[in-house]
Parts: sequence; structure tokens; C-alpha cells
Amino acid sequence: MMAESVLQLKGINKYFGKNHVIKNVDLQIEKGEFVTFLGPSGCGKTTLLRMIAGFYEPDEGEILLNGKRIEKIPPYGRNTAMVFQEYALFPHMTVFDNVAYGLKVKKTAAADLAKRVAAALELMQLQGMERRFPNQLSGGQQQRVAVARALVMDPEVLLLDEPLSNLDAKLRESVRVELREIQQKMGLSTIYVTHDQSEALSMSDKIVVLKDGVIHQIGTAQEIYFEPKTPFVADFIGTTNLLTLVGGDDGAVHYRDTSFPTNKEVHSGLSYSASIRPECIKLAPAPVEGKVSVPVHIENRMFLGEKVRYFVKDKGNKPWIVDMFDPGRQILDGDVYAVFPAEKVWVIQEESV
Amino acid sequence: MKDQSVGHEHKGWSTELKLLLREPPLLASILVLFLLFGLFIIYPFVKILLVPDSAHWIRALTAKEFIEVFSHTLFSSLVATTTAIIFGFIFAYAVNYTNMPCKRFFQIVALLPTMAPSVVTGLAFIMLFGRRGFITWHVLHLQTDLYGPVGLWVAQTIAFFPLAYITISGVLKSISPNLELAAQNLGARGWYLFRTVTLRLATPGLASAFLLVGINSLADFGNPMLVGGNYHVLATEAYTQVTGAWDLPMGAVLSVFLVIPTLLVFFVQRYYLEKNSYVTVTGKPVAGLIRVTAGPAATWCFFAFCALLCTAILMIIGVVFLFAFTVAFGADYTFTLQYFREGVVQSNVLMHSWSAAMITAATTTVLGIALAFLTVRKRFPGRTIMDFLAMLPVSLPGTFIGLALILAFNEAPLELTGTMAIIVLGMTLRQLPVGYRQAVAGLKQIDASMEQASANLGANSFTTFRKIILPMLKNSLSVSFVYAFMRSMNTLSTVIFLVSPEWNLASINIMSLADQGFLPTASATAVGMMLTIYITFGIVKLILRDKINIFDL
Repeated sequence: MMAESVLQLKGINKYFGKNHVIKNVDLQIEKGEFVTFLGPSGCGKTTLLRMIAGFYEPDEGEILLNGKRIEKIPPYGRNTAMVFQEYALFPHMTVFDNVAYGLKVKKTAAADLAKRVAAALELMQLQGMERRFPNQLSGGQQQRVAVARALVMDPEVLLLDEPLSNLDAKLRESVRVELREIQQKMGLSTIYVTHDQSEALSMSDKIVVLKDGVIHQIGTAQEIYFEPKTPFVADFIGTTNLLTLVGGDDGAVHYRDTSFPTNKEVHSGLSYSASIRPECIKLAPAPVEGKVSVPVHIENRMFLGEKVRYFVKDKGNKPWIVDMFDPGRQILDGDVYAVFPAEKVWVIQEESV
Repeated sequence: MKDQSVGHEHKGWSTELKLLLREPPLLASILVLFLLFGLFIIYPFVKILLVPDSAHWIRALTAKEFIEVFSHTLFSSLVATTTAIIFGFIFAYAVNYTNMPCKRFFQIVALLPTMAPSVVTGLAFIMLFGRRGFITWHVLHLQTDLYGPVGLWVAQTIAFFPLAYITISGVLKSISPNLELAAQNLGARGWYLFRTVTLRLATPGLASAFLLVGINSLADFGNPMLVGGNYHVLATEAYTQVTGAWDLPMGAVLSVFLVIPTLLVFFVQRYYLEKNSYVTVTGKPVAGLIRVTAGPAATWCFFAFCALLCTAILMIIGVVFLFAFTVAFGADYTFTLQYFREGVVQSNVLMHSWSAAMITAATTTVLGIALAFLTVRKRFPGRTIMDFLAMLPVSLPGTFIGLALILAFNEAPLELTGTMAIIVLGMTLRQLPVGYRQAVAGLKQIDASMEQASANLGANSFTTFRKIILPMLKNSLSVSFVYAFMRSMNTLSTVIFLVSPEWNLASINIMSLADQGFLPTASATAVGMMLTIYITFGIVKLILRDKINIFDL
């Protein structure tokens, strides 16, 4: 048996009427891991989370929490505290009563309860707010109460449903760091749902990329960024240029007139999709020895401060995006070469015909 | 009403007046509306206060008979309201929180009484439980007399249960399911979850529903008249004073007393409860989530309760049909159309009711939208007064409105008594708040930016209203039209003082027929009214091609 898997999903399928919203999902979450479900809206990430919390029952498959099957257990019987997107704070209770609610349900002794609530409030820096009602708090404070209310339960796995989406951009960034620190300090197994890739990249031990109810890739932030397994992942995470390469005889690949070696074994004559990030490409007036050089024409450019983003087209009229960092005041124009090292090109998979 | 941002923010009475003077058509329409309010609301209500002299007031407060009437009124409405609210709550909870079978059927049956004349519960009560009642006499062979407080209690509970159910169902629906999910997620279940979250969140709405049902049962006229027997309440006593003792001033005093508690409730609701509601703090309901919090045993208890209540309602409607179409139900079960011919075909009361109710529905809908447009979208001095006056009649008992109108308009130049105009006026006053509130709610959902966009693209106020606002309000307007029509058809208390031999109405006719013992003809008239309402509703639906559902009212 695999050691220390807190949560396992096996062959999960879910239908809403005729819609097949979760398709054959298998997943393991280790103890203390911070796992993010990442995907565009409607990809099934929240549905998956709600199934773990028990608000939906899967139509097929098993959910195991610490090795025990829980998919038939009602939500109140699982210890899977959740932070709701809209916080769902009880408007008729004070901050203290909100945080204490779950412990009261479990009939925790008064002294212990007070101590644990105080600790949770202190952890979320909410001291002095105990007597306030949710409508007397700012959005950021409400979010902290929601987190404190879940943390105080000492859950087997903490569930977070886009908890930062209602905060403004500045606050979001600082809460991100804070949440991650608390999670690491407490060693909490955590599932975090978001559509924001920068949240996913910056916080997670493991990212699960979903689209249309299918897991496209599970991996660390670096893996899904640099080694995407599907064109969707490559395109969804960050910005990229997706190329169609053709395999050559000598294990090299061809793109238009150029050919270069690659990370993957390729078969002669087959087409492959590949990704190269804008920041890996440079624009140069002439071809560079030892690198791949593709002649392009600059169509448009955008000055963004730390970089200039160029929109260029190659001879086949395919648009590329090229980021030039630390550009100074130099702005390029006209016909140039897109130059990049061959090893920066990540061959994703054989193209389906 | 909360101030909403309406394009340009400007404060102060004088700036508002200055802006108003720049728009003469607007100014004119506001003045006309205030004139109408003054003539048809303020003047009659001042008049009714001035008619009695001090002797009347003192007698009403000290005479033993009247003190008894006061306590009867308070007691009977408190008891009936409490049971109606409890029944309504259980029913609404069962519908919203369980997956019991036949849910849709129960929902429809529960609303049937709202579509029937308000005297129908009283009428059915007589026919089922009266001295020669089908159940008490023919089935059980009892010689009981349920007329009086007990009968009134039962009849009013059934009569006001639908209102309690509709209101409470709305309250429960407005509770964000996310809160209950969060509580479940933290381990709460069953009774604990209900007590700490659902019930607590519903409390302000429940209080509001209690007051609403309370007002209605305080002002109820038909049920006490038919089944109250010698147990007099304020509404019936005022009627007796006017029609029996010809003591118009005493009737006025009593109906004024009836207004005091209802006005109080109106103010409590308007200025206290609305501000203390949790309803606004909700998240988006999530598709596909069912909030089933009741276990199987509880679900079956709920089912049994709903089935029982629906049986009672179906019995009420059913017995009216049976009496209408048999020679003598209980003795001779031969089918006959004789009563239907007498009560519907050969009688002009239904046509009168229909015309008055149609005119009323059209008037209140148009007036409601005009008033709502002014109070929601325009800023002018007296805006809050206008809003107040438009909502005020909601708290006024029908008997009070009727009496005030005959006192105010019984001499030249505005002699309206004995005409159809005064009937329509009474109905319009009574239904105006409904039309107004619907239009306000509809308008508030339309973002002001939509009108600004229309203006920005070159449309003037009139074009904007016609091309943008009216189409968007179509649904809520047709709802208020149908609702005002239905209520006006069915009302008894508002028109009891307003009808005349020349202009009699169906609801009044049912009551007097029932009072004189002509139960089959009364039943046939009631059936005729229900059919008229359904047919009219069907026609309106066809014309407007709307998705409005009468059962969603």
C-alpha cells in the first residue's frame, strides 16, 4: 500500500442530467500536500471539490479518506472543512460564534472551545473582532473568518473554493503568501480550487489541470509550465507559441526550412505539436550560429515596462509572441529573426489527424 | 425605500425643485398624482375621522359590548394567525427542504383558495360543518353548533394558510443554500442545523409573515360574517352598526379602531423589519444542489401533514362544486344545472364583478408603473410621501376603505354612492400597493445604466420608457394585472359598503345567498366566479404570450 495517501479518488464520474461533467478522474493526495485544481470555468473543478465535501455524490467511483470510503457519507459526517467562495458566514452570528460553530456541534468542552477559537482567530490576526457581525467586517476580514472557521476544525483535508476571488488584487497577493505559510506550518492537507494560474503556480505542491471534466495533467508548477502534456495545458498556463513540427529521419524535427534536435523520440514523417515560451525567444537582425533562427516580420509591439512584447509573423503567416526583457529604449521593427535554443522547444505529443 | 444611484446625484430640496421646474411634463404629472391622492386617499380618511363626535368615541371605548368586540377581534385573529403561520411554515419547509412525493401537486392545491372568492372557506364550512352540514349532520349525525370562535378559528386558519405558505416559502427560498451547506460542512445536521441556521435566518421573515397574516385576519369580514355566529369582531360589528342600527358614525369609529393595529403593523414592517432582514446577505444559489436536510422519517411526517391539509382544501373546493351541481347534496344526488342557471346565467352580478375587476386591474397596473417610475427613477420633493401614500392602503382594512368612501362621496359635486365608479375606486385603492410594489421591484432590477445607454443613443424619456422599460417590465406587469384582477373579483370586505341594488357584485351575492340559506345557488355563483377567473387568466396568458404562471404568484 502507498504510504500516507490522505485522499484518493478512483474512477470518479458525475453526470448532471445528460451532461457528463466529471470524466474518469483518478487522483491521490498525500499528507500535508497543497494541491490545486486549476482550469477554466465550467471545467468541473468546483464539482470535484463539492464531491469531496459531500455536497454531491459521484455517479461512479470511490472517494477514500485515510483509506476509508466516504462517498456515501453525508457532508456533516466527514471532517472536510471548506472555505466557500462567497465565504458563507452566518450573518446572524458574531465572528466568535461563527468560528465556534463546528466545535459546538461536536460538543467540545467550553474551555477547550474558547482556547481553540482564540488560537484560530489569532492565527488569522482577528483578535479583537470576536463580537463583530459579518456585515461589520471588510471583505478581507470576512475571508479570514471563513478560513479561521475551517481551520479550527482541524480538518483531515482543508477545502478552499476560489477563496481569494472576491478580494482586490493587492490583498490577494498578500493573503496568498499568508495562507501558504499557515498551511505549511500546520502541515495541512489542502485542496485549492482556482482559475487563476498565478495563484496555482505560486502556492501549490501539486497542480491538477482540468478541462471539460478531464484531468489533463498532474504535476508540480515547473512540470506543468515547462513540460505540458497537452496543448491545452501549454496554452492555458502562461503564454506560449504552439508549433506544428514534422519528424525527420535523423531524430530531428523540421519547422518550415529549419531543423533541430529535440527532447523526444520522433518518427519520420509524423506531425507533432510543440510549445515554446515567448521569453525563450530573442529577436535578432541576423541568424545566430548554434541556435534555431526563424525569419519573421514584426507586426505589432507593446511596451510593458519590464519587457517589450512583439507580435510577429513567420513566412507561413503563423503569428508568434516574443518577449524581450530589459529592453531599454530599443524598439525593433521590420524583418528580423526569431532565435531560440533547440532545447527550449518542448515537443508535447503526436498530433491527432 | 433605499435611495439608489440615479445617474446624477444631487441633494437638497431646493435643487430638486429647481430641476423639477425645468421639466414641466414631469411636474404636471406629479401634481396630478398628488391631487388624486389628496382627493381619494387623504380626504376620505380625514372625513371618516370627522364624522363621529366625541360621544361616539367615548362609547366605543367604554361600552361593554364594544370592549368585548375588541377582545374577540384580537383573540380570534391571534389564534388563527398563529395556526396559519405554523401550518404555512411546515408546508413551506416540506416543499423547500424535502424530496417528498407529490410535491408539485401539493404546491398547486395549497394555492387554490387564493384563486377562489374569500367567502368560499366560510361557505364550505357551513356546508360541511354547519347545523345541517354534510359531515356533522349527514355523516356523523351530530347536533353540534360550530358557529362561533371555534368555527371561525378553523375557517380562518384554512383561509389564511395559503398566504402564510406563500410568504414563508419566499423567505425560505431567499436563504442562501451555501449557509446551510457550510453548516453541514462543519458537522451540523437535522434539528441542530434547522435550529441554529435555518430558523434563525428565517426569523425576521417569519415575523414579517406573521404580521401580514395578522393584518389580514384582523380585517377579515367574510369568515366572521358567515361562521362567527354571535361572536362579533370589529369588521362585522362595524357592518352591523351601519346596516342594522343605521349608526354610521359608530361604524366609522369601529373601523377606525380596526385601522390602528394594522397601521402599527405597517410601520413596524416598513421601518423596522425591512432593515433587520438577513435576506440581502446571500450568495448565488448553486445549480444542481438540492438542500435536502430532512431524513426519511421526517419526510414521511411532512408528507402526511401536507396530504392532510391538501385534503381539507380539496374538500372545501369540492363541496362547493357538489352543492352547485346536485339537487340537494346529502339527500338527493341528482345532477342539475338549475342552480348554475340561477346563480350564473340568469344573474348579472358576475358580469358586474368581472367589469369592475378588469377596470381595476388595468388602472392599478398603469398607475402602479407611473408611480414606481417617479419614485424610483426621479428625484423630487415629496417623493417619500408619494411612496408612503401608494403603499398605505395595503394596511387598511377593506371595510374601512369602503366606509370612508361612502362617507366622503355621498353628496354633490362628487356623489358617487350607488355607482360602479365607487366600487372601482374602492378596489383600486385596495390593489394599488400590489401594482406599485411589483413595478418598483421590476424597475429596481433594471439597471439605470440601461436607460442611460438608451438616452446616450439618442432616445428621449418617452421612447426609452416605451422601448426599453416597458418590454423589460412586461412580466411583472402582467403578474400584477392578473393578481389585481383576481383579488378584486374575490374581495368582499372592500365592496360590502359600496354595492347597491343596481350594482351588486358576485362575492356579495354569495354571502347574502349563504346567509339566507340558499347554499346551492351560492355555491353555483362561487363556481361561476372561479371559472370566470380561470378563463380570464387563460385569455390574458394567450394575449400576452407570457410564461407567467398563476401558481407562482
